[in-house]
Amino acid sequence: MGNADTTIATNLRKGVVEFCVLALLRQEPSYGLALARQLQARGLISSDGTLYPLLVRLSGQGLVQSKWVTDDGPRPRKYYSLTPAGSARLEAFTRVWVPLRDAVDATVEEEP
Amino acid sequence: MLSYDDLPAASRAWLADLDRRTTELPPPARAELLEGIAAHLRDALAVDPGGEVRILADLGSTDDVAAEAVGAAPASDSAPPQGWVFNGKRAVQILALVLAVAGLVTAGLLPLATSVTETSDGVREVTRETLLAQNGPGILAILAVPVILTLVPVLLRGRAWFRGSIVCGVLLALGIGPAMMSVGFFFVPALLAAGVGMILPPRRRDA
Repeated sequence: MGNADTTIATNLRKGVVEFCVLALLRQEPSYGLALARQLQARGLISSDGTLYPLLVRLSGQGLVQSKWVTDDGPRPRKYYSLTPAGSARLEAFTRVWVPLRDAVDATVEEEP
Repeated sequence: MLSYDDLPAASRAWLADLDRRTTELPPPARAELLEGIAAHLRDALAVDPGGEVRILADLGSTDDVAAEAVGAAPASDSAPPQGWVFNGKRAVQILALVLAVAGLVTAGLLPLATSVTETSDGVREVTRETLLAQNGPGILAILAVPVILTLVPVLLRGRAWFRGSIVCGVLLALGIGPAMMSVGFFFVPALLAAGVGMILPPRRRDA
């Protein structure tokens, strides 16, 4: 990927990655390392560390909540889950995103 | 800072570095950030105990994470930084303090006051002396007020910094204004600098 490609991808990711986190948490509550791996595998974050400022922000906005779970292994784990406000935000994003994505696809794939 | 004694040295150093770089965050958000990443490190090291270097590399640089965190902090656009930070506002307020001290020295310790005495045989003697000599040590207490009012904003932090800067700036103007034609004149530069420092926003990014 060239520099221009990287810049475009970075900018686009910034706008949507928080909704991807919400979407992953809609499926089931998860902990940081698992979320980071899922997002990295999909190329949605550039480094694991950038996930945590995002989780802090989502938590501050009341879109996700966290709690320590003690019965999931040798140590307590901090699990993140979606709040009702987070679900509503994700639904709103989906309503906007799908037609927007389709419009962009149609535009960039248009033959000259 | 929270304790991460259970983590290996490089991980503790990484967290300590991030802690230093995120002083602008509100304390709860800063603690949540560090706690989340510490939990990530514990989980990752449990899976791969010998992989600390790779795990830290996957986390990315503390600089990038801090930049993301400070930009993403709840209400960080309007809230002042919580710790003592040096930025443009602080620099101007330090300048105001220096100018106030210079005003105190100039007004109090230089022989600028003129006194005229007349002897019994009608000879008038004009002497120049310092305000200190003319009024006694008590004058220093009065002249120290502008210094104190410019020192306080330099020491404050967090929300108190923003509010204290306004209170001290207003008090300084109220004190110097009426005395503008006498000793207040020497503190005008400090007042101007304090006024600029008062209106500058406290965010570090404005430095």
